[in-house]
Amino acid sequence: MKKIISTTMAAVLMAAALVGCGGGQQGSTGGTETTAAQTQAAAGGETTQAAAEAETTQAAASGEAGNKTITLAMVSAWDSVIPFDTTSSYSDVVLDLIYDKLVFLKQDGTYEPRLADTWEMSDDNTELTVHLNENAKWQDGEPVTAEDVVFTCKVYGSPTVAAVRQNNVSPFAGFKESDDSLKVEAVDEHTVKFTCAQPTNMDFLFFIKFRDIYILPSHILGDLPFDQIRESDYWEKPIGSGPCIYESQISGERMEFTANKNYHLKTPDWDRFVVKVVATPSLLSGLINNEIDILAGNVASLQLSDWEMAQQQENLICQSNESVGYQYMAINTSKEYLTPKVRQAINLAINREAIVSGLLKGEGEPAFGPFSKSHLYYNEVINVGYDPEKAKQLLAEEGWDGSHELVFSVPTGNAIREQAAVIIQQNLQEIGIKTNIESADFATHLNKVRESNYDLGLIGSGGSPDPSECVINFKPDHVNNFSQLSDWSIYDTGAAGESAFSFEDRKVAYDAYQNLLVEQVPFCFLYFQNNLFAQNKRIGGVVDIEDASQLNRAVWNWTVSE
Amino acid sequence: MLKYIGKRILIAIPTFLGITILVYALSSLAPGTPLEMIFNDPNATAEQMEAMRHKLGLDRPVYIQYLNWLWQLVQGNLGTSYRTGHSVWADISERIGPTLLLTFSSLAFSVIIALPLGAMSAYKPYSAWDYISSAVSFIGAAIPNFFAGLVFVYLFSVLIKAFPSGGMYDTSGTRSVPMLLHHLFLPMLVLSIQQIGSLIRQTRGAVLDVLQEDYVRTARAKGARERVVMTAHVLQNAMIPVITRIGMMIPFLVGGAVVTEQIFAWPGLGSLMVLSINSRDYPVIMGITVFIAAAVLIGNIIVDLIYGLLDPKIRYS
Repeated sequence: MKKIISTTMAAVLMAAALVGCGGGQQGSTGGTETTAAQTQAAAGGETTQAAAEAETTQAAASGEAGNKTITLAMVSAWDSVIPFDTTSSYSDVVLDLIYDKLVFLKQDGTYEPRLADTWEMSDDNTELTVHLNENAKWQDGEPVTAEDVVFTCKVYGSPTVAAVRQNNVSPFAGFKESDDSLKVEAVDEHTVKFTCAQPTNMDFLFFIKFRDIYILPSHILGDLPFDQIRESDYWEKPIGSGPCIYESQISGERMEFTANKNYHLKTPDWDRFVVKVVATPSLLSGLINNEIDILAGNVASLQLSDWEMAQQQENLICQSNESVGYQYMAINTSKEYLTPKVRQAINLAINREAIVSGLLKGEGEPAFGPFSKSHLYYNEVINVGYDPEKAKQLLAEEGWDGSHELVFSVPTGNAIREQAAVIIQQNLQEIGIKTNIESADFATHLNKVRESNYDLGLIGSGGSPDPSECVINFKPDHVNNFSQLSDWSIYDTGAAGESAFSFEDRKVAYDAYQNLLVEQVPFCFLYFQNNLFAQNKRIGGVVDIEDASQLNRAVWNWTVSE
Repeated sequence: MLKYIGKRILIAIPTFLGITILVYALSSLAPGTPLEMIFNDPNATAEQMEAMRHKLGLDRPVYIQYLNWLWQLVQGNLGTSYRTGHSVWADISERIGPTLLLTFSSLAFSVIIALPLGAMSAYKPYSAWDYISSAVSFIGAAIPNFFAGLVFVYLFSVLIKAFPSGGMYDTSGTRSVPMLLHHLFLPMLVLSIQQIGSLIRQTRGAVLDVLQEDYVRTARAKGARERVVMTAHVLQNAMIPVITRIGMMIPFLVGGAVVTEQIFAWPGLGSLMVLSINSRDYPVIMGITVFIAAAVLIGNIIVDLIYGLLDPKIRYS
């Protein structure tokens, strides 16, 4: 017995030693901290002179390894560091640190220079000219040029690459005709011209299309045939032009970075940055313990049950931020019994105030459309209120068969949404509509909704300050036409806003679009849930509502007090 | 002995194939496809999804997909993850170390605590010692891992501040074995609670049974010292059902402790399996299945061999 126990203990210690020393799977070592230059060399990567210079410059860029570390928490792991091959918001958190995007998007619908310094749209709204910041450099010391932007857009749009995010460059002329056909051109070393296939609104381009375009280094990847880009060693240790230099990762647990002290917008005050994966129930304990400095906003919100305790902590700053993200209930319009009047009745029967005050404890806002009350394009007409009597009247006019039971598909994984489903079920029961809740994991639920095997289905959206965000869901031939619309009127009306250019013209288009949403009710919008954000007081410079919303964070402005 | 091992391995092959067929069929026939999660983006189009369906071979009949996967497996290739784009082996190998460290340290801890407690409570039944260990085992077996995890985090991490609430290392940029063990302690403790509970009961029952045997009475009648009676005669014979119990824990041990890993952000196979199932990442689901199935089958053979070491009456033929 003693032998068994001692052998087991020895095995555990040996395993600990092995895991301990080999834990940093990509480039890290156990026991000692590795400088950026060392890990760069270890990664093997490029053998060009640029790469050789990279090592020295990168070492200089990260400077002397200091101890000012910021730890950011999110609730699930990234899947890839290949920007064009992921649609995960968790991946966007780390991508936004490594790479640069053209502009920094803000919750109020405006945007500021990031890699792009200035930009202008031609009078006919077909040519967008972007002037890049001439001080911007890759983390290996090479300058960021217009060629990098052109290369990135061509990779995104390439038929050979067939990227998951291919449609991010769909507005531009020559899209998908060939690998080289995209009309994105370098005018000079720091100027790029994007030619749209048709007149296009610039805000739409920046908020909807450019949001997920991370600029890649053509001097490293440009010589590779497009079909080999994914296989490059570069992705083992990507070099971007963002504020953070990739250092190492423990798959599914953390990604570690050093500061890019040469970042062109500002030299970060901190030295290291760590993105940690932390389960939602453990977020508060991590914050209280100072193991986590700041939450990642839209991909890490405190639980409502933790909110009061969080606000009592002396080391924390807590902020309940309005969100543009919303929950809605799609209604399957292809079912003959779910006529427009029945859908209107369902819309009137839902007690959104009860959901917000009861389930969200007031940390949210009822949603009647895709825009919250503070949104620039909000139209009061969509606020139909809660009127079960009128709902009953509409159902009576339509001759609703009270014995009919609707399939109510609800995805698991979001406790508030699952509880909201029960309230909605009771609300509908009160006006004489029976429902049967069918819960399933998100992949199953989404498949059911896409395949039209449902009557009512709950879904969420991250929303956007740009009013065009939800319009695509009403395009009859689109995969996200969850309500199975065959009528193009809502989509056409909303899409008109993408090619309207003044705020007034867009407002007219989106007002008409909201009118149609109220009439046809393909979706019942339910609620906007506030983001329960918290950070340690030692972190300064965080503009919570902006640093937590549009998949970008101005971490270069963040400071750390010891 | 070698003939016996060879025979067991031959029997294990069809069992292994059966497991893979079952898991492949279940995961492929479940509603939802990897495409739903890969294209969880409003910019995606139906055309893109169809192209990806073809590229991944998901437009072929399930049995063809399975045979292709099996052929790749025979060639030593577990495929590529739909979610990460990495080779499945790379994704799994990154997670094996943390999982084995967590689960085997928890097993070792459980054995060290449970065996003496169980044996002592059987040796002195209905004593205060017995009641205490029974209470410990019932409480241990009744507390769900997620609850114990949250309570322990609150007690040890938030109130006492003795242990970190999650992860494998702190964020100082250095990594060392003491730091790893410091982070390991809480998840290991949580994971051990249920195992300790069931092992105490198993050991107590087995020791009680053996204590009634004639050979124990004979040993005592011969004047053997009580310590010798307990270790050489009682414990050794009582170990067979206990070893069986430990053998049954093997799938759980190599499969990762899903809930505990989630609560403590421990990057093991369990959390990878959950991510993969949620995103219908078939190659990774199958890769982990292969790993667990192989571990279980090999584990069973090893347990059978240990029986022979513990009980000379068992002969392999």
